[in-house]
Amino acid sequence: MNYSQNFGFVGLDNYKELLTTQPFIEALFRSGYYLFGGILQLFFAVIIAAVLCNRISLKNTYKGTLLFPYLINGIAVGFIFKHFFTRGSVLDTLLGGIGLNYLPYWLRDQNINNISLAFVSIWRYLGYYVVLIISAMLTVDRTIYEAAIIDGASKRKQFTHITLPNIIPVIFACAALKLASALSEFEIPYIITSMGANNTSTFLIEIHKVAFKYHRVGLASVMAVFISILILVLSTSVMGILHYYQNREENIRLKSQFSSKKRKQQI
Amino acid sequence: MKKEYIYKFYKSISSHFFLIAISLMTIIPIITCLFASSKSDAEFAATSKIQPPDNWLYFDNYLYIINNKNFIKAFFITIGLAVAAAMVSVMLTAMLAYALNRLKFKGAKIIQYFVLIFNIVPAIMMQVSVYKSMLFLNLVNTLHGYIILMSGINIIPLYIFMQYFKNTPTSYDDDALLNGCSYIGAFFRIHIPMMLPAIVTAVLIEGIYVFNDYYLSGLYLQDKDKFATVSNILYSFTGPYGNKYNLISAGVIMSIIPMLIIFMIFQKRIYNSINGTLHI
Repeated sequence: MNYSQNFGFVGLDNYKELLTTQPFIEALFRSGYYLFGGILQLFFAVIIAAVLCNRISLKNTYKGTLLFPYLINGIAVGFIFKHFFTRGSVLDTLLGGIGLNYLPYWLRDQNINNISLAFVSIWRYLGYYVVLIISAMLTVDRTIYEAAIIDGASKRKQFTHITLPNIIPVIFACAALKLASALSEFEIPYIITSMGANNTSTFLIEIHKVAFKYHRVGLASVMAVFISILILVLSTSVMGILHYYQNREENIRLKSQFSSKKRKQQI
Repeated sequence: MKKEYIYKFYKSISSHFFLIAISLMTIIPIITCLFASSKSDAEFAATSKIQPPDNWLYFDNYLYIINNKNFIKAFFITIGLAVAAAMVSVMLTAMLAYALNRLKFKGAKIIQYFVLIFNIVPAIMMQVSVYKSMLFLNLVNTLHGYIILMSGINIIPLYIFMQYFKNTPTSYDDDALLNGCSYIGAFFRIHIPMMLPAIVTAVLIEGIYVFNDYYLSGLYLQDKDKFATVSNILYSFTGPYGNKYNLISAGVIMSIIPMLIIFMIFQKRIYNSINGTLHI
C-alpha cells in the first residue's frame, strides 16, 4: 500500500461524507446490539458473582471455566462459533433435541444475525466481568454484614442494601469498559460473518475496509478520529455520572459552607 | 434446626444447578470443537455434531495441519515475539511507574492521562496513521518492527506497578540514596526484586495480548511464508478449508492449548491481572 504524493486541502468534506453515508451510520448504530448484550452481560455477571461469593464447593472451577473464553484468541472464537451456528450443527442439534424445529439461519437471517454475534460477545467476556465484580464484592467490609445480620436483615436485603451500593463504582467502570468495547467490536463479525456480510459490519470493519480495501486514507482517518472522540466522550461521561452522584452530598455540604463563608465576608 | 439444614441443602443444590448450566453454556462450543477435531471427514459428515468421536486418538487432522501449515514454526515465532515484546514492554512500564511515582516532576499527571486515553481508544483505529509512520521508518514486515510496535505501555500493568509503588514506603529509596545508590541502582536493586510478583502478572498480560493478537500481526508481518503467527495461520483457513470444520477445529484446539496450560499454572496471577483494571 502506497500513499499518493500529491494532495489538496479538502476542509470538512470527509466529515460531511462520513455523516451522510448510510452504511457508516448503520454500522455505528449496530453497536447498539452489543451494548444491549453488554447490559445483559453485566446483569448476569452480578448474579453469578453474588452466587459465587457464597460458601460453595468447586468455586474456583466455575470461576475458571467462565473466565477461560476470555483468553482464547479472537480468530479461534470466530471459528468455534462459525461451527456452532452453522445450519445443522451444534446449536441446531441442541435445539432440535428439545423439540424446536424450523430454526432460522443464525448467521444469514438479517433479523437475528446481529443478536447471534452479540451472544458471542457475551460468551467471550462474561467471565471477565464476573471476576471483576467478585473481587469488588470481596473488598466490601465484612463488619457491615455482621451488623446487618444482628439487626435481622435477610440475605436479599443484605444484597440490595449493602452489596449493590458498595459495588456500584465497579459496575459503572465495567459499563464504561463495555461501552468502549461495544463501539469498537471488530474480531467477532470480522471472522464469523467474513468481514460483516449480511448487514453485520461494525464501524471498525468499515474503517478497515475504507483504509485497506478502497485505500481512502483521509476518510478512514476521519472515521477513526470521530469514533475515538465518541468513545472518549461517552465513557468519561459514564464515569462522570458516577462521580456526580457520589460527590453530590459532599458538594451540597461544601457549597453551603462556601456560601456561608461568602456571606460572612460580605458582612 | 432441621428445617434450616434442609433449606441450606436446597439452596446449595439450586445454586450449583445454576452455575452448572452457565458453565455448560460456556464450555459446549469448545467441547464440540474438540469432538470435531478428532473425527475423520466421513465421520464428521455422518455423525451428529454433539456426539463424541468413535476414536479419541484419531490425530490425522492435527498431523495434517502440522505438516501442511508450518504450525510448529508459527508457534515458536509467536511465543518468541510474545516473550520479547512482553519483556521490553514490562521493563518500560515499570520504569515509567517508578518515574511517575518517585521522581517528582511537572507533567507526571499529564503523562498518566495520555496513557489512559491512548489505551481507551482501540488500537485498530490508530493503524491508519501508525501504518504510515511504520512505512516511513522501514519497519513494516520486520520482526523487530512488530516487537517495537507491541512494546508500548499498557495501562493495566502500569496501574499494577503504580499500586505497588504507592504501597511501598519511600524509606527504602531514601535509605538506598543515602548509602550512595543512584536512582537507577535503587530501581534495579531494590524495587525489581520486590515487585517480582507484579512483574510476572504484567508479563502474562502482555504475553497473552501479543499471543492472541491477530490484527496487528496480520498488518505488519505481511510475508506469511517467512513469519506467520498462530492466529494468522488460523485465519488463513477461511478460504481453502471452507466447511472442513474438523481440520479447522484441530487448528483451533492447538491454538487454545498453550493458553490452557498458562491458565492452569498462573490462574491466580491472571485473576490479579484482571483485578488490576479496578485501580483505574
